Amino acid sequence: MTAHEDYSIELKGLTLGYGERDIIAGLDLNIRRGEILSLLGPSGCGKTTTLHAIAGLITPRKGSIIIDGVDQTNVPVNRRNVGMVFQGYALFPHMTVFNNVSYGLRIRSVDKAQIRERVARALQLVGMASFAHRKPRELSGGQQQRVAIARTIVLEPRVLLLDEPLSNLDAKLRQEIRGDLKRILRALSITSVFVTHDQEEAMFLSDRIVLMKDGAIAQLSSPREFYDRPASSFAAAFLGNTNFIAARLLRQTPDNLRCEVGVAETGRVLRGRAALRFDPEQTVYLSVKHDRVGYTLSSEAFAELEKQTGVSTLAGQVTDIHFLGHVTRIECLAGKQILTVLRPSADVPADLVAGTPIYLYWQEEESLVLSL
Amino acid sequence: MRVVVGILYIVFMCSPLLIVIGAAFEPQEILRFPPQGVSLTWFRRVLQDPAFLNAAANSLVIALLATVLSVVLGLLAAYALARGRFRHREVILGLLLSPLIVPELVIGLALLQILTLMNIATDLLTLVLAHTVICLPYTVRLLFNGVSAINETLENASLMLGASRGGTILRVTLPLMKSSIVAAALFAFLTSFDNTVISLFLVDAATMTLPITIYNYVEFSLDPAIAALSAILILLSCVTVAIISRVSGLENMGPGK
Repeated sequence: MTAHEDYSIELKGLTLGYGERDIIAGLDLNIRRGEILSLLGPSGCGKTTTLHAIAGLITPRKGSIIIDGVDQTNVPVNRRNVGMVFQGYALFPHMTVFNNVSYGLRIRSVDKAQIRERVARALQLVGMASFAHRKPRELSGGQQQRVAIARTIVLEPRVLLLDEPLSNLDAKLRQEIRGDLKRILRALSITSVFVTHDQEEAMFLSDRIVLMKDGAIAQLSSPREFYDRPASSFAAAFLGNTNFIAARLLRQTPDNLRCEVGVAETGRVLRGRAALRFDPEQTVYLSVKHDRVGYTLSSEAFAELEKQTGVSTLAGQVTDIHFLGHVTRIECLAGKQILTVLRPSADVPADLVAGTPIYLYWQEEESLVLSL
Repeated sequence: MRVVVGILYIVFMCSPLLIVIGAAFEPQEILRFPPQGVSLTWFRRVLQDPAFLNAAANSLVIALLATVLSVVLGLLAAYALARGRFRHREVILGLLLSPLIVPELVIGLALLQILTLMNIATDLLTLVLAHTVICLPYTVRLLFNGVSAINETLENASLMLGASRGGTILRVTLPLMKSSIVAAALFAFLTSFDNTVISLFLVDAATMTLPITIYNYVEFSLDPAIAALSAILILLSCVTVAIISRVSGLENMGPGK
């Protein structure tokens, strides 16, 4: 198989910008056929700009965009046959659902009977068949989104682009709609690229996640790998729910990259995995997820834990407790390090108060040493 | 309090009109209010006077042509200014709005001088073009706001669905700015139909417009014919505005949102 058959979209050395400023500089990215890929990152990282370049809404300064093996860099937006679901959906307010969905077909002068049939099929697929004669303003946000999807898939585009598809919905609805969206995208089995700043949304919807920072790819991996093995402290921080313990590298095993670090101020020695080679004495973060930290309130139990190998321990004090329903967040101070423990509320005594001495522990396997 | 202010405002705005309309029913050859009796003599007289009818026809033709021209040109300018990415957009917009600032007297004189220098006789076409110049600021401003109010994403969506730029403008942009087009046309029409100062420089015997004819008439005779004519014009304006507000709604008629 050649590379062209594997990849639906290839971005090669893409440089994009507005005015004087380059937003993306030399981006390389291959998007596999049929995958759902998310461009994730904070605002201003260039994710929407990248999406707009694939769509043809902005022209690259350098580099090329190849779709299905054909260079599309200079093909105008209306000849690309790339589908896009806009943020806010951009349905034509003066047209009915039927006229919105048939718009592209009418432009292509498809005959009337075929238009009716294809529109009906597209609306059927997104579950909006009975709304054909409504105007967009008579639909809910979720329904508008489905119409927007129908309007673009009726043209059988080569790829589907979605710009923040869920950001216009309120939080409660978002959970429900994203399930629908995932089902629809899976049913279409079309290469889909979507932009989001919500890591949970990215994990839920995508096969692979591209984390972007300052116009470059910070990490490209599956959601699971992204969660378990963030490549940098930026990636880990973007994921959230991670404790960062400032430390200095003491030792690193050359073959398996395992590290021994001295915690800042106290010098307490902790161990963790690493994905890359650090310089000796380098300042690093030892990271561990909030939900992977265990705790005990008994000093005897803690003494036992300290004797075990493969377990990291820190002693500290409870500074704050946040009850969130099914889970409780316990904020702790160990030396000068602030740590958060996330436990099911059933495991946290209701009478736990700030100031209580607390002993934290986690498996060394759970901690990952990251560069700053 | 607000009601009182509202009533005062309406009285202040309408009383001159009511006085003119009242005076039109005067049976005698004296312009006065209140009228001493009720008669339709002057209406009949005005509607049978060929000078007034000719002038009305001229004004109508000129206003319609100036409206079409200034709306079409205004649309082109407004679209380019609202959507284009080029330098000096503000300067160009300012230039297009400048006839609002320059006194009409100056524009009229300037146009007449240029036409004389270029050896072009004043005719219907020059009058239409001159009116177009003074209508353009209104149409450009209203249509610029109209285009700006449309989310550009809708146009991008249309392009991505395969429509050309022109097709997008015809199918998406223009239908969505229908009410600002109607507003611009109405303003242009009234501006041209009402115009006296510019016309004063550019009319000749064949292209007499209604305001100039009225002006000339009043210079020599002050009888209720003028009041009757005014009453007819007021009625026509009211009917036009009523129809337009029925068709497209007057609420989005103001400049911008």
